Amino acid sequence: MTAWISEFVPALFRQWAFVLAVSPILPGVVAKTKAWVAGRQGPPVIQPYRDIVKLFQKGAAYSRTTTWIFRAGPVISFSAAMAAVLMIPIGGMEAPLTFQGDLILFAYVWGTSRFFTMTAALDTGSAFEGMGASREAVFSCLAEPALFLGLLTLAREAGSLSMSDLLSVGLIRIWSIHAPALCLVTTAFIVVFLTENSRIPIDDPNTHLELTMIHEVMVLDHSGPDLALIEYASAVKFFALGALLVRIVYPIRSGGFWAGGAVLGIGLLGLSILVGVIESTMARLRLARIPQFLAFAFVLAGFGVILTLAAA
Amino acid sequence: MTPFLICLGLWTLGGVVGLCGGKRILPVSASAAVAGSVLGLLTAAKVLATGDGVAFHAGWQMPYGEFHLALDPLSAVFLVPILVLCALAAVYGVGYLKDRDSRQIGGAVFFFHLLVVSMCVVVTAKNAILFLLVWEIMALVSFFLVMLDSRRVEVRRAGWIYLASAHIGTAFLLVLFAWMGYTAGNFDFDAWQNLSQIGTRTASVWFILALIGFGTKAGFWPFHVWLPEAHPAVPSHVSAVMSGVMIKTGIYGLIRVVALLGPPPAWWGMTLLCIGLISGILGVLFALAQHDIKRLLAYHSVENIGIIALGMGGGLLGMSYGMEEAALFGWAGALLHVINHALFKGLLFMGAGSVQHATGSRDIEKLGGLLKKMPVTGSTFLIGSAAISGLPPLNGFVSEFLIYVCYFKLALGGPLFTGAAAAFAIAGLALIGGLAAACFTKVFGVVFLGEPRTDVSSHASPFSLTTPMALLAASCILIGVFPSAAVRGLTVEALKAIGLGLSPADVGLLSLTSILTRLNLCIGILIALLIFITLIRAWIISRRRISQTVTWDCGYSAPTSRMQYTAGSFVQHFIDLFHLFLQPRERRQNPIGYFPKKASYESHSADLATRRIFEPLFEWIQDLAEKIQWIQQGRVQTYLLYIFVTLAAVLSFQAFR
Amino acid sequence: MMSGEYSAILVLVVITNFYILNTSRYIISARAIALQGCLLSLLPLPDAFAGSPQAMFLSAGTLMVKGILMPVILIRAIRSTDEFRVAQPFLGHVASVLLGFVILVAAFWAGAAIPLPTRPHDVLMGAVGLATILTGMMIMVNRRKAVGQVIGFLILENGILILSLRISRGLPFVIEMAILFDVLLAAMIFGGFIQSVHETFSHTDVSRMRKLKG
Repeated sequence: MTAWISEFVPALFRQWAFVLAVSPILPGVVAKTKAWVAGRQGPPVIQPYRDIVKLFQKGAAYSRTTTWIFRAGPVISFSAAMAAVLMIPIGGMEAPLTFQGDLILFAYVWGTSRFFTMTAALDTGSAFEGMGASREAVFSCLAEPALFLGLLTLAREAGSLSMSDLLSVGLIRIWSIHAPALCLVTTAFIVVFLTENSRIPIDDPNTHLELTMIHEVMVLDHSGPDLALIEYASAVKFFALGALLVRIVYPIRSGGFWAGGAVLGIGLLGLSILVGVIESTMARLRLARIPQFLAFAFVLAGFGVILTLAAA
Repeated sequence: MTPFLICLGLWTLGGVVGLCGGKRILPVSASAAVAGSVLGLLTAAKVLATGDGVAFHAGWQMPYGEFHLALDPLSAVFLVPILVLCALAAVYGVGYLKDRDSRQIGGAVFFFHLLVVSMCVVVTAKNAILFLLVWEIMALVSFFLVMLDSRRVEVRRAGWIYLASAHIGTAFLLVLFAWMGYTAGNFDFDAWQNLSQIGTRTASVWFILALIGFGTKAGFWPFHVWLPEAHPAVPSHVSAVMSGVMIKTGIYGLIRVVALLGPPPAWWGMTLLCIGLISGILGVLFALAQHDIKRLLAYHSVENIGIIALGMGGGLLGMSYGMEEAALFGWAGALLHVINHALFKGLLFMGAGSVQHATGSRDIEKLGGLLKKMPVTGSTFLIGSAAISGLPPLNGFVSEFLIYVCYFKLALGGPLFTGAAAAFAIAGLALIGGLAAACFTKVFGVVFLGEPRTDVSSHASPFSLTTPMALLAASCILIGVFPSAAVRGLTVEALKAIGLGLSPADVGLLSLTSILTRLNLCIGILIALLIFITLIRAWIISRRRISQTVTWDCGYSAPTSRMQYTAGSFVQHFIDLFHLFLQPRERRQNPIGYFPKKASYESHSADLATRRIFEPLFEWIQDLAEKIQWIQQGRVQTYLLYIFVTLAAVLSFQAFR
Repeated sequence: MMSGEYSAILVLVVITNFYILNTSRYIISARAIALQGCLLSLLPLPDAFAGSPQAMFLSAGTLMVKGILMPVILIRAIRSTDEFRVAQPFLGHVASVLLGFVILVAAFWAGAAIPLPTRPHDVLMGAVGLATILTGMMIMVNRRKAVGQVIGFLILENGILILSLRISRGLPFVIEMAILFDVLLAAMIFGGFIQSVHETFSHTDVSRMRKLKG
């Protein structure tokens, strides 16, 4: 028991340290890429770190309408993100938390975070934030089945229900025999990734009109340390779902925590650049078109499941 | 067994006392109920811990009938939520009924206690005649409860719909039990064990009969039509009991019969899977479209019954494909969800009742900002909302997790068709979860958050209302935080009763235990993180300057509380998206001109099954009945002729046979 | 040709089906059909490399007819009608896509029942062929404008081609080519039909043709 604890606890903190250190750079890289494409110099890539530190140092303003729910929202979304990230394997070994079925917990922890972000938004009594919450509710509940079907495809290929097995070396063999199914899953996951991280073409994080935003408008009233927690949580979410995607596309063969972590980090930087390019070249979809887009992702993931089922 | 009989006696006594006395006697009835429940729970706990059932026989002047009660683990699993929820509902009723006039109180208490006793006997009866008799008592007593407020037209309508559907269900059960009893030559459930040798064809017919008969009580789509009518009509603590545990007696009956029928063919599981998916998705969709909070919760019962049916379907599929592990997870999930749903749905109905008690309104569009006035009700309602949406670290997640694992295992090991069905179930569960979360952010956000939308007066709920809610919320958290102990303690012995011959060293049981232990660890870490980060945040905030201000209004200088986002606008995207099923009837008056005066919008989604299945069906039956009305001549001689003809026909049939 | 690429082509065919179900612009649908035609022309290639000149001809013919000629005719027909060039399916787009998915699942289930799967891709091919045929039919039923029916018909044709490749493998080359030219003819007639309907009624809403019945 003590041996297990002495192994488990350092792994836990190592994982958290790595994620907390790396994740804020990713939105910075996205912003930088967008600036490059637009021919601007843009903020330095470490700007998100500075923002978070600055926000932690600021005071906070609360609306008189709000209750403790409003203050609990950021705490819960940050904790949920930190818990979810423990199920992502970094490097060639297992994640700190792994068991048969952890992929379900992984998907649902984001649900908890979303639920409390939406209630916190409604707590302000603002119509804009209500609008944001309503849209978030619709789009996330359409993205969820696609995520689950994608995970099912991977689980069926790996013959296991744990994220660490799903994203293990075995993926290399699976790419060589079931490439089409994996391609479908990857495409579906890109859509899910963009939706969950509120990116173009689903949502535009940089718009200045409250009427057009989804995620950003929900956190409009948060300020100071609360906003810092939210920003940090969304960076961690970008890391977690991005790591899922990167590890599928580029299965990490072996290596310890740091070597594998470096590879994963490079992959995530690549993903951030890709997101930056998508954001620079595409327009946001009309709201009425987004369900269509998500239904398409669902069908792709479902087709992936059918292909793996039929292959047996 | 004696404590259980004393428990029944105490409940009955409480009811009779309540009938005689007025509002002053309410606490007496409630304490009798609580005392009885504690005794009953002790017995049930012992059965669940050891797995040894207890039985009680008594003679009875009834052909084929015997007063045979037995408490085996399967009964105990259902008895636990019944006793817990009913005792708390009785306490809740003390505060809730206080303001009503004495005659109504007497009726409400008496019928409520009788309902509880009949439910307890239903889940323990071991004789088919006895079972049907108390089943009927249960239906009638709850019908009287629905009709308590019978001066209102919609209540009378609800009552008749309920009575009709309850009896249609019972009719199927009557056929089923008569047939099974005829085949077995006995009406005792214990003697029906050898019915598992019957052929698949007969067993399948029985399965269908049980599915319709018990499904009507449980609220499977499309037999759910009585739920959204009857639940809003009764006092809230009774709705909590009806929705939380009474409909589960249908699930109990179905499991009991299925366990008797021997190895299931695959299509039974598929049928339950389809029923579960349809009930789940349509239930939550129609819940989204409702504005009446109790009606909305009633539709959520349809959704949760759908989830339970999905678990049972997964269990049956696992059994028929010989995938013991998947079957184990499916059944464990279904049983645990029975208990979980009783806890959080009871909590939510009580919360809705407190809101109605305090504001006099059930229309969520008229409410708002209640969390400040009713902190306990609001906070417990939030816990219930998160639990019913299946979010970790609460109890709803645990049972849905088990059902997910069941279907993942089926998809991993099953053939193509089963795999595809399992994939549909997984995607459906994910969709149901998302929709439920959306629906409860709507309810909680609109009722408890923001500013009041109209000038309704409200006040904090009395102690007798908040205590049961707080206890239910605590049990939701407990099961959510200690899933491993909950599953082992509550379901393992009952799983043996279903026909999964488990031994302590069973592989499936080991995997169940190990998965849940790890899940427990993860949830523990989540909780630790929550506490730690809350503390850190509090520490940082305490050292910063905090200011109070208004909500960011986008520069608009005169916002009013009527400008808040309403429930109707919150779900507008969903209604547009699922237009095909919801088919809302909209009435709108658009604003006209530069200085519009009056504008309004209203949308209402009538039930799909009522409108597309039952109304046409009953119209057709009525047409048919009108066509044969010519038999009713009104002349006595003609009727005598009918009797004569019938007699002659029967005699000639006997003569020529 | 590698086995992975062969199934990749079939997967892409299904994806183009869904893309057509999902898009609301007819021009884009027509381009997707051109892509589907090109994909189909790749299917006989393994036989061609194995030394069958007939398969080579079939591939070239498919590319010409399905990949180039028919889409060109179709796009010209769409451009010639100045109507709002947007599809209005009776079911919404989301529902159509989901129905398409159900069809796909059913096709895989039924495809396993087609006899004699001998080559490694036969199961996939049969299922994809069936799914394409059914999707085409669904589009024909589900669209209002005449263009929608033409697009549905062309997809249905593509499905038949896949299925015939799956079942026959030895279906005489002449018949395959004859079918191709039949389809071409049909597309030309459709093109003319759309234009003349448009000129006569100034719309091509097929559901409004009910007025014509006696």
